[in-house]
Amino acid sequence: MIKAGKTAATGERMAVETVSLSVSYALKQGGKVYALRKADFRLPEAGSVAIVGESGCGKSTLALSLLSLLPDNADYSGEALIFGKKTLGASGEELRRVRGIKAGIIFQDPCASLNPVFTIKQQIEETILAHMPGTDKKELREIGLSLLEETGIQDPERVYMSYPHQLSGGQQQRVMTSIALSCGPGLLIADEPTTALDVTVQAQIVALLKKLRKKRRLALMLITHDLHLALELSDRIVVMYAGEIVEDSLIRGVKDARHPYTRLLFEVIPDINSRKKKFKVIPGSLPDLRVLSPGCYFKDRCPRAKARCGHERPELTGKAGHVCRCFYPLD
Amino acid sequence: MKNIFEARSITKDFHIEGLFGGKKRVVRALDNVSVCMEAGSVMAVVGESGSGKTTFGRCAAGLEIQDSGIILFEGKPVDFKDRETRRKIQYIFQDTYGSLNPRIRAGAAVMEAISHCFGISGKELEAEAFKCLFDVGLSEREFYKYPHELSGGQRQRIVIARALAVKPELLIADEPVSSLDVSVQAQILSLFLGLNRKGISIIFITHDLRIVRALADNVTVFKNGKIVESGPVASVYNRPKDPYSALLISSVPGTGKKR
Repeated sequence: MIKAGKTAATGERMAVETVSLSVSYALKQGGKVYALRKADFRLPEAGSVAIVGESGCGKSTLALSLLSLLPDNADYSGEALIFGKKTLGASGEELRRVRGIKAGIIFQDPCASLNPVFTIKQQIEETILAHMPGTDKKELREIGLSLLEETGIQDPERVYMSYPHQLSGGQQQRVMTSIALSCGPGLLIADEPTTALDVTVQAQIVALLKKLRKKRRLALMLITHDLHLALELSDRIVVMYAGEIVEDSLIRGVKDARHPYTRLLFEVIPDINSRKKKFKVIPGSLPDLRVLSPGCYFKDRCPRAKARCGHERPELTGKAGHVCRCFYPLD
Repeated sequence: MKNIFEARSITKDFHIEGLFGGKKRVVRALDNVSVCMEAGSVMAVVGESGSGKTTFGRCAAGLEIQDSGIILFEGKPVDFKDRETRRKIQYIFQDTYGSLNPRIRAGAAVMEAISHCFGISGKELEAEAFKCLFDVGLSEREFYKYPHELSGGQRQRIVIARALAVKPELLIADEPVSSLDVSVQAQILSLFLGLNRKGISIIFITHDLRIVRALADNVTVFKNGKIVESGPVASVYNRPKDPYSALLISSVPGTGKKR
């Protein structure tokens, strides 16, 4: 059994790497929320991964850390690197060379990320000029229109001159993706990119992300609470719970899940093919993240918990390609 | 009485002002919609945004008045001015923050509903409110909390408790679990199943077709203000008659069906 954290001997370049990354948020009334604890995570160049977890698991904190977008009340230790460059805590100048150029990010609600008083043209061109100043007008327009075509916009010229509110949710998300890719980054982080969209549009955006990844050799980091969506987009799933990575593996379905939480997460998603009038439930709720637990954070809700889980913290262990944070994992 | 609820040829238009005095537009949110529902059943209403499913739910609960067509409750044309009718038909919103008064504690919100309908007070009122909270899986601790002190799932339980407190016969729930985590959704959906087993009819509006399979007896599919398909869940899912229904079903991640 090997411990996760040993460097791969292949010499692969890493699009994303976090080393013992911990983030806590200071509360106004005193005390802290330990939102992310000692996360060790690696995404190879052109690889893809889906980070899956529910509220409070730390997945958004992880994404924000990567681009050094944490709020003022955040305290952190450890490192976050994008293509080998340190991002967390880096200077504004250093970050400008990473954001947009090495990594693009798309968020959940495209409407909220697009400025309502500027046209799409202005927003795409602003991004390109911010990272590649001096680009001339004609070239800007060419790049902008070709980006919109690439992300599947049906009538790019009209959309280019439109305001965000004149576009549908799906179009807005495609525009967001164009903006994120406008400076040719090697990594795309997508934080719940389809949650605010209708289910048929979700399917289109998933297909788009797959196509872009192949075409541009992008590393793709998808963050989602939807396990099935994760499996559609990526072979590798990282499951997070209460601020920790609890499983990191190439899984295809419920039978490959070794951590009890992962297994339960599969089971609580209502099965569209099921005929039973029943919902499987995970009893209890998230532990209080203002307190550091002496044992496993899942023990109070875990059907397999034993005495050891109460006073010893499990580490990520397993074979290369499949690690799990549990003393009694499923087989 | 076989059908607890029936909509006959409901049409509802919204008139939208143009920006800065521009042209007015008319949006036909519901177009000649007819559907009926047996007492004690769960009817899922599905569709994408703009399909008319929310407008349908609001008309069914008397929160909107349709332009034409009639709604029947327990076999008679519904009269939303009648207090008893308003008590028997309860509505649950998706946004719990919007439906709970932030200055009233959870227990008090439930007591307010009970005293309004049944005129009881004092210790008896408090006891009844406690019972409603227990019935939805909450405890004494939550009784004294403000909405912002509760989790999303707990807030939704308060909303449901308040709706149940007045002993309704029909619950209309518009996306009640959409903003909740999957594991919390499961808990609230189990609660709905339990309510249905006790005899409450439920109209459940959602865009998540996975929930519908385990929860509902019948499903009605809306598109652009019209009903494109309606029937028992198993037959609509296994043998959809309308291509749009088929598209919706196959778009759900994890169905294993090709797109």
